[in-house]
Amino acid sequence: MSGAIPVLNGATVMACTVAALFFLRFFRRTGERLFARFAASFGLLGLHWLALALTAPDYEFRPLLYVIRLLAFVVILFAIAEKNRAQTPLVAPATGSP
Amino acid sequence: MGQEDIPEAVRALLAERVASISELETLLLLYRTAPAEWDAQRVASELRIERAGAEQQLAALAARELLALRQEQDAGEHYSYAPASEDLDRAVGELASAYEKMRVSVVQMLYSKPTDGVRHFAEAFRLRKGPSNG
Amino acid sequence: MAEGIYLLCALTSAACAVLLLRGYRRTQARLLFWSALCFGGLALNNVFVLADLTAFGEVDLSLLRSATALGSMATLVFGLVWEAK
Repeated sequence: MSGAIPVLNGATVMACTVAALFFLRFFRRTGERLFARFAASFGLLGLHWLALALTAPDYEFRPLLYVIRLLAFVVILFAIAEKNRAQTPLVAPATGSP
Repeated sequence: MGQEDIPEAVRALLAERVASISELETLLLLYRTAPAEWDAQRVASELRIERAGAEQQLAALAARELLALRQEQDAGEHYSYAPASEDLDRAVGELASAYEKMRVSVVQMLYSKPTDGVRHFAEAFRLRKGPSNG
Repeated sequence: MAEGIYLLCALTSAACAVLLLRGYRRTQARLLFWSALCFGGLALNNVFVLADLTAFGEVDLSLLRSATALGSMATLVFGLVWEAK
């Protein structure tokens, strides 16, 4: 059963890549920087699981791997911070959009 | 594409308080001539649009706290630029300069409002906010 | 060191899940629902890694870790493909 783990991890890498590509597309479409950062974050997570797939499950406890994961989540935190820093506290419009 | 250069405040303004190019032009007209008062007829002739359209836009912008309305008894409705907050004022200023420097990008941004939840995803990460614009 | 990092990751994931759920309740945008599930799953994944780390040799959660990781990401991809135009 433990032979399935690299397979699962590999599939996860693919999912992360697809997610990152979607976020990249959203960024290109809307110019919203948060999407670019989420794309980077999921790219990093993909890298994390790729490294894990190529080594062994207990490598997750090793610095190289968890540093990548840390980076991924730090990017997310940064994205959230940025989103809230430059914001104008706007109230919802009384009428809808086009 | 240039859309990445549009400041966050302007982006929010376009997403939440400006519905069309006409509204944008109307807002900027009143912004540039502040604190002058305009009525629908004058706006219509200045921007060369229909009077009814001008009325609608002025009313909409006022409802979104960008303009103030002063009702005169038999002399109709007069609008002037009066944003509800300093932040809003600053955002409109940035919008004016963005419109001048990156007109195409601003217009694209105005008309590319995704309704499929993508924008809501980004908005969900705003920590403090008022009621969502749905 | 590692424990602190995985704890931080777990908390960040959970925070994202909460924000997205809140956004979903407000806007009814389904993409946010699936995304929230993904981040919830990732939070769980981080907790499993943490548990595995601190329990030393007593338990082996490696299969659970991989399964939650894949489950979460698959949910997100499903949401993106299905809901985003």
